[in-house]
Amino acid sequence: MKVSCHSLFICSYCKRSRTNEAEAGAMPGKIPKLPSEIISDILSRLPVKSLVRFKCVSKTWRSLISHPGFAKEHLKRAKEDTNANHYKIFLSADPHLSIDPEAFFDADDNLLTAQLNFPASYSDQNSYIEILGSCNGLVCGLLHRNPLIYIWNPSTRESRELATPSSRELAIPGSSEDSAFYGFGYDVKLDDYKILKGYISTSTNSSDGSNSETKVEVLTLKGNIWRTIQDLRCGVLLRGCGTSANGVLHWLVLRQENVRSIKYVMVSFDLSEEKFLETVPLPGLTGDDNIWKLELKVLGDWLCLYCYRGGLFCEAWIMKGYSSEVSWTRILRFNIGEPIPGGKFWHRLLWVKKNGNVVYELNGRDVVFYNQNEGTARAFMIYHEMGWFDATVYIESLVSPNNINDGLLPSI
Amino acid sequence: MSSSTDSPTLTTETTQLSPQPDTETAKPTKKITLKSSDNQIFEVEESVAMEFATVKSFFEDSPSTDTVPLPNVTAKPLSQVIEFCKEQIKFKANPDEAQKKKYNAEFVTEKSDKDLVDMIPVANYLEIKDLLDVLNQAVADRIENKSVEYVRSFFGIDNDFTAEEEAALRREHAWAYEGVDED
Repeated sequence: MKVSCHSLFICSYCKRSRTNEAEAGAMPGKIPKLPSEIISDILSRLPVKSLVRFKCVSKTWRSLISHPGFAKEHLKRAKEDTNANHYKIFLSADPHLSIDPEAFFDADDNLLTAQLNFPASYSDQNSYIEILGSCNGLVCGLLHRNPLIYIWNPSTRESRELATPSSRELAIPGSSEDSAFYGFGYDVKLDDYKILKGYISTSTNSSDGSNSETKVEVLTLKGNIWRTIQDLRCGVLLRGCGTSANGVLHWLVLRQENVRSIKYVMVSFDLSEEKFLETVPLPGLTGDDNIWKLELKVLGDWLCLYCYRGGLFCEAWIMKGYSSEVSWTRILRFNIGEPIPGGKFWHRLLWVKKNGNVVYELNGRDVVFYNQNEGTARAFMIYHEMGWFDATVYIESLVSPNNINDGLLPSI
Repeated sequence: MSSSTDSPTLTTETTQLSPQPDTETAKPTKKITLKSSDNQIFEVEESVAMEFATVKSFFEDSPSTDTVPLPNVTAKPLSQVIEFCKEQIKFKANPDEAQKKKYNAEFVTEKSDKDLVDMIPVANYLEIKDLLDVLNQAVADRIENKSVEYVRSFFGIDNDFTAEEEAALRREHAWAYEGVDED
């Protein structure tokens, strides 16, 4: 029997709670059975590791913990909870690692990392894994050597290999002559996750992409079939992986405004509507600003713009509102150059801690924690034999790559 | 028996509560009588009783009642719930988030597992959202790093897996069983 996820969730609650309430308070001296909505509330406060373990408590618990509706409740609470940190840093090193960014300064390195056993069936040793996106606890990766796209939940360690795009072989983002771009995010209306793969062919026209051909394919996790989106025109040259926030993918693009002026703009793609949105102006940045690095991040649910100017200053803003209502609030500004060895050249912002300290990835080889008040940095030792890794932040969730919604009735 | 003490007034049903005029106390406050399933009588100030959404709506429906029967609630958890709500009223009058957090933490720390779990259905039935939140979080904190066996006995849950099924589940997620606290 297929039931829509939400109503099933509520229904199974009501049904079970009624039977259990009758038993509550019985048997003096023994702990009474709690109504199932209470059990569910208590469990939704637990970390993923405990919940995976507690699938073994009983069949009812296993059904509840495996249910997509419960995964949503759990995720919602994790996002709203301000008392504990539910975000981890994922490194596609060999073996894959997970780091708790909030606890790092206070504890032993080994206590903060967990080795994640990557599904062996995918692993072609020494293959670089590029992370295409991270959303609601799911990480979307692209294996370079044996090109395939997979979805992985590092918290539950559940994974799934996806269909290969139909039109062309998998291009490594930015590697081909044409401009390839990717994105991974959540479609609220469909209640499904989408992977986007696009090409902007420059062979047809000018180098700024204004008249170029845009070809975009999309895959939903439920369907696992690539579908071409017709009649899309993006108008600028997109490259690399879009940053997903609130159902919209975002890319940064340098756009020639006129002969003299180049400006940074943000191009967005709405995953529900499947169309590009109006470009969003950035906080007063132009091509002349001596920008060494400009990138988009997600901090919690906020889209964050990170900028590194002239080898000196780091700044970050978070975006509030959309399109014409958009506003940027600066959350960071400090000098990074000296304290982080090599930080002058190639670094990526990973996380801004609650206390304002910052976590960087350096040269695809190190993770560095930077204390901006004291101006000190601490490198995180990573044993990584084979060159570089990619990194992303993910929220710990139960969301399953194999069971997004339309969950079958739990077999209780 | 004085009804002006701070702790919940606990009497048996046989003690007839004479309708004392409020003028006796310096600050006249209306009292509400709650009766537990084991026939204990609790006199609480109206402001405290109004923290219980269930009691509040009971009074809105039948304003002339003087005793609210609580057939699903026994005396011990009820007295603890009343104790909690009295403190919350004080925090409502003088908001102090840090103190409130501290009180809430201490309130649950000193309770036994059974006391905690016994209070949950009461807080749920009386619809005291803040308390339910505190209790559920406290239970979650207590079981977070515990073993499957511990959790089964904590909630009185029977294991309905076969030995093979259970072994398979443990094998599949062996990493989730590492670093678990001693029971």
